[in-house]
Amino acid sequence: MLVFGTVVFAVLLVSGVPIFMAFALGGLIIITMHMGLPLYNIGIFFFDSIDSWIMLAVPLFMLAGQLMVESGMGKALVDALSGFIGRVPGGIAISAIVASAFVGALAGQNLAVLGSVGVVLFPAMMAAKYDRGYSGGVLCASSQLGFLIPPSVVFIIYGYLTQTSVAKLFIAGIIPGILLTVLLSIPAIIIARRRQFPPMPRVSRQEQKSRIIRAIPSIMMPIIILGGIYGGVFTPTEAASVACVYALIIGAFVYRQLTWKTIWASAIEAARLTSIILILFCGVMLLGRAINIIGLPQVIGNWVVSGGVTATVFLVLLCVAFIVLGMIMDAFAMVAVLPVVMPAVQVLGVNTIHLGVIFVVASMIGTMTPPAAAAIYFTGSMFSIPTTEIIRGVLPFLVIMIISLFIFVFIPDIATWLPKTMFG
Amino acid sequence: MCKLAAVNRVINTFCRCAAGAVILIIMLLVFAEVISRYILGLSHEFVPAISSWCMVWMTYFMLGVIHKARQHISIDILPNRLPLQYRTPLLTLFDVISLIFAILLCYGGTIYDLMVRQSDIYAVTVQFIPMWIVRICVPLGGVFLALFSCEHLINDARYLIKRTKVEP
Repeated sequence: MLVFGTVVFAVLLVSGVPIFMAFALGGLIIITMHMGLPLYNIGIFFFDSIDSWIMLAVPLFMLAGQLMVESGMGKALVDALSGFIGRVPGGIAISAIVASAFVGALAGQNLAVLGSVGVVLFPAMMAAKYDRGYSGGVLCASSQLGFLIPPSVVFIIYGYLTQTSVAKLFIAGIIPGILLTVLLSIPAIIIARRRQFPPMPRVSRQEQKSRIIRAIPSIMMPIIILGGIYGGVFTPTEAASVACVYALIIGAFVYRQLTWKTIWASAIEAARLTSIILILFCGVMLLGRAINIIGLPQVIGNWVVSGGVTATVFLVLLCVAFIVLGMIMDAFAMVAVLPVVMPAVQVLGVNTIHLGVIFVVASMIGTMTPPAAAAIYFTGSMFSIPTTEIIRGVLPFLVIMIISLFIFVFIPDIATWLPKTMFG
Repeated sequence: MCKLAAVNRVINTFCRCAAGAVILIIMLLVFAEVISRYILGLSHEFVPAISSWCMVWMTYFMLGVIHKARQHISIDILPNRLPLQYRTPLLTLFDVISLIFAILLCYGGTIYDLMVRQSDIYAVTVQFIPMWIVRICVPLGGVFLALFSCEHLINDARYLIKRTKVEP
């Protein structure tokens, strides 16, 4: 029955059945037929897995992200930043990367970042005669920073699954996020110089000043979220609700972009995106339980101990596995790997915050590696760019991300220093 | 079929609206809790429980809606590579699997819900809502998923019959 369950799971997964069903049916076969547990376990897992205060931050950050896009907060930020950076060679591309990092600090996920930054900077890139594939590649790669820069939805899910503090994970994402922003700017400058892309039109000092003033409410949002969490004023979940209300107030009364219609549309879209993730998570938890029952994590843990595998070697192997999995799976489906490897992680004494940052960066790479490259397809459909052109455009940034991933593996302090310093 | 499609249209609209309303309620509940704690010095134990339950309900409201639009995350390399004449039978197979899953979810959810009802369980922090009412969202989500899977199946069957008639 164990083999049957595994075969059913594998066949369903690769044939294109929704992943949560493949996970759940595979897991259900193992726990009912192999272990003899009752069928009503599906009812327990599909409720208890997501009935959590920590996971509540996911819909709220999704809603905050949607409201931020609709309220014009992201646009104000992009306008202010592009006025600063737009004049250097490759300035529009660098503006896109830096703006994505900033908007990532408001949105918590990649799609909202792509929506905010791309809508403003893609037309600017076209006007400056950037080629479409490269423009799409820049936007696609930089929007992934939304996963790493806090608040990040992937960090919340990772934290819940591995019992790691979400607040510490958020803080841990700051330095790698800034570093990755700088590193991604390097190919943007080189390519711009080589292809002689013109800078953005000059902005007058007065105009720049007014853009900065206009962006101040947007800049305040990450300060409120992270300051509130770090200062112990509220939990990540409460911070997410504060972010939503803040975006509502700023969008309705300062930028005057939010209407009842856009608020309603944002709520439905946030509910849709959240449900896709949460139902997948139920499947992951059911499969994780089945994997635990058959003892696979213990087998891997024993193999690691008996094979004399060091923590660094294990993390490198894990990175390779994450990258390969990312080629066929979505970032949110990749969390299924975590219950399998956690015992080995504990045996080797790997810092779970360090692993969290590695997991998120690997997920970012995964969403950009074909054939299952959700970020590339989404960018392509959003800006009407053929997939092959975006893949070519995204390649230099993908290489940088893979190099960064291994830098983060070999220098754990990049991820762990700040949370250690701030939380002790 | 027309009746099923009409029923599903109503369910689709209801579920979308309910999920949208629920997420806004969660936002207000959690924000009100923050305000209440800092301004009035009052903390309500029921807020985390109720808002988490709302999130679970929202998930099951949207389960069928997302399935109807075929937007659940999947590894769609194989269906995308297949020629059109093989794609529809494959999608039909997916809908059969979805229907089986929906029945399992409905059955498992109902059995567990009945057990909770018989045990007369209440959450520690929320004494005014019995847990069986809270947990009924799982079988309900299964019903929504089954209805939308049936609609897909009927549409697939119609397409396949039409194609078989044209091909000879």
